[in-house]
Amino acid sequence: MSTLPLFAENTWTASVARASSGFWTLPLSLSRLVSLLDDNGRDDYGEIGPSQFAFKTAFVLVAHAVSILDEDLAAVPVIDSEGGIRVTWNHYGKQIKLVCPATKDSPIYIYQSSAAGNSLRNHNVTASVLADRLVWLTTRESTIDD
Amino acid sequence: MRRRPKTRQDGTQDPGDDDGLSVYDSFRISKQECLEDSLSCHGLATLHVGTLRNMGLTVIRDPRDERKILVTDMPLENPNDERQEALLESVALSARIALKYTFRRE
Repeated sequence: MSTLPLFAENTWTASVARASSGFWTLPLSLSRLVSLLDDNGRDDYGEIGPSQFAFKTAFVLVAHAVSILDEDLAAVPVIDSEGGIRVTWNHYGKQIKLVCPATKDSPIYIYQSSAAGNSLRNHNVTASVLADRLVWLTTRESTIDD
Repeated sequence: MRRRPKTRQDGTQDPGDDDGLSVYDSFRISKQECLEDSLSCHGLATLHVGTLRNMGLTVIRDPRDERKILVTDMPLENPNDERQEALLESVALSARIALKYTFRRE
């Protein structure tokens, strides 16, 4: 029986069902997010594990974005001192950051940067928007559009 | 990134890093002492004071701990601001990894 979480809109299986062994392989971007759950508690600087809100938000956004793209782009997730998650993708000298705060009191946003400039989107951040940004990341052009 | 001040669950105030981002001064503490001074660690990275100042940041001696310096205007965590994010990115890019070593003191 699968231990993967169930979503009302479970559209991400297309991208995780590629393994030739017949078993699902969790995309690297998601398995790294799951690895954040290995740690919990606090250290000198604050929380070392993610909050439930941050984890759920990041996991759902990234899973759906990977599904839309049908491609897994390796991401680097880190935890802030309050348990929020910052997920970073780098490619072709460009960068995307998905910022999922520890609680719903702070905004979720996407920051993107390249040699052409930077932009930040902090409203209506959806998996579709994240997927659009990740498509931009994988093209050699570095024009910023919001 | 600097931690924001906040109220703890017991009602007391956590000042966060409101006086600045505190970092060890490599001229006043060894790598080993630096690691042993922390409850947990994923490694050690170095920042150059001149580079930080060239970015417009203010770097001062920590008046409460002579082994440390404070970057008083380092952006706060998750600033939700394009320029502040860009500055954080510049600082991160300027950092050099000195040691990779993960531990957590029980």
